[in-house]
Amino acid sequence: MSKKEFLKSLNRRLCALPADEREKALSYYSELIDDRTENGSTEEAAVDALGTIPQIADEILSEAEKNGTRLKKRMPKGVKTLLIVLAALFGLAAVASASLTVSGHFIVGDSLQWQKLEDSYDLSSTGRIETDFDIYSLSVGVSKDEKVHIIRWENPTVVSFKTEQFADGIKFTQRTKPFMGFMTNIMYKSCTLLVPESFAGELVLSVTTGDLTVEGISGPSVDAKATTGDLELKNCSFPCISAGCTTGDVIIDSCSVGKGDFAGRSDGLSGTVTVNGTTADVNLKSVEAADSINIKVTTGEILLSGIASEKLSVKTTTGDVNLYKCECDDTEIKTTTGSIKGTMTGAITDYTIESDNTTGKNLLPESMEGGDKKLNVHATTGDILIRFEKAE
Amino acid sequence: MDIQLKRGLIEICVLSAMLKEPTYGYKLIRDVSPYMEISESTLYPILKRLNDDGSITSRTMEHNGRLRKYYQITPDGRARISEFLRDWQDVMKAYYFIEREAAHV
Repeated sequence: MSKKEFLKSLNRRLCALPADEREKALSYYSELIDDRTENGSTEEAAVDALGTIPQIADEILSEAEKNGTRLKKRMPKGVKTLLIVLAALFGLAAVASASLTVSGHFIVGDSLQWQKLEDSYDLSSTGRIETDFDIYSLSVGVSKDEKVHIIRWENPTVVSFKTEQFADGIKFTQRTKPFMGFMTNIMYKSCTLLVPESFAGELVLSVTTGDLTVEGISGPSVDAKATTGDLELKNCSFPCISAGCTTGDVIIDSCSVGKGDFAGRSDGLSGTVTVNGTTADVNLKSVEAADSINIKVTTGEILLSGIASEKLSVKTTTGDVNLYKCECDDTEIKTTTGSIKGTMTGAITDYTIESDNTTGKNLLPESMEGGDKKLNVHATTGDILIRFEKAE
Repeated sequence: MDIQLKRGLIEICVLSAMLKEPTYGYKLIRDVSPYMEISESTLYPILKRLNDDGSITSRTMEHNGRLRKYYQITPDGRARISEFLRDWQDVMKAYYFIEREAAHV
């Protein structure tokens, strides 16, 4: 079994645990697999050495129960469907009677009274906005006025939401309370953060099980982290991006980094895109970076199209790398078992090439001098199928 | 071996493996396993218990471009080892007596 499959499957088995406990267990096992592979074991062998998933999950769950962690009840699917139907009915009843609906010890999260709340804050345009959410999904957009707005659903039985203001910034924290029951309405788990158009400070965004989307933002530097959710940055321009995902996927679409207004900023990271993922798939589409793009994942697939950057560095262990229309002066791609496929912009003679793989096809020369651009491609057992095409 | 006894022993072994320097999961297993049977899945709840009762603290640091959690023993944890060593002097006395007597049979 691959690391990705192992973590996904363990995550499912641990669904009764609170999100932070589950996250701790997953990162513990992820680290152990990495340490074993680093010491010369194959990924498969590293995963096999851990024991069986049901055993591992039982050990974690029974220990959590002993420590008094309240586990969410697991239900057979049929019962769940029935309860959802009941929940919907209760929900209607709750609206009608404006009273809480709690059935026994089991909380039907959706039928509790949820409140949509919006707060707005003044913040200096170079300040810092931080989020730390465990169940909320976060979407970030542009505010219509000069204030920071945070819009979310709250219910004191299920979630707590905290806002801290500092001299140079603001931090929003959301935690799920331990409760037995379920929520099916994803609307209650969504949070919207709107930042002023003039905001050029720092966005430090972290979500655990929800997704994170940033759209149409221009100005701040972005550090975005999603653990099991997906991460998407779209139509943005930033001085720099740092994105991290454990099991979710990363999508960066139509973004420019360190270009235009942000060119020549003095901080060392200006113009760089950094993506780190464990089992994440990474998809970059129409991304321009003034300086460099660095992508590092363990088992994810990487798809790059329409990339322009001075430097491009891609590292993956078992995933494939697909490239289309990439224009970079210095490109380095490394995989162990994955294949590297696609097209680079320009003629082959534009490049100084180094490539090697032990088994598998290789369409590139192993060593070729003369070009102005550098292209280094290394795959151990995967194929190297890179062709060249002229810019349009 | 009695399960409670084994559990207690593993906890002290894990604590002892941290005495020299902060250490991480994979290394703990390698250091302890020659002396006590320990696996990844048994180590996890042990670390959690030791952390909850204040015998260890942990912090996450970067290693080779990824994150690794390092565990460090606290003064409370050291006190537990001292206590163990004191208690076991009596146990060892009994052990040698039993061993000696059994050898005669």
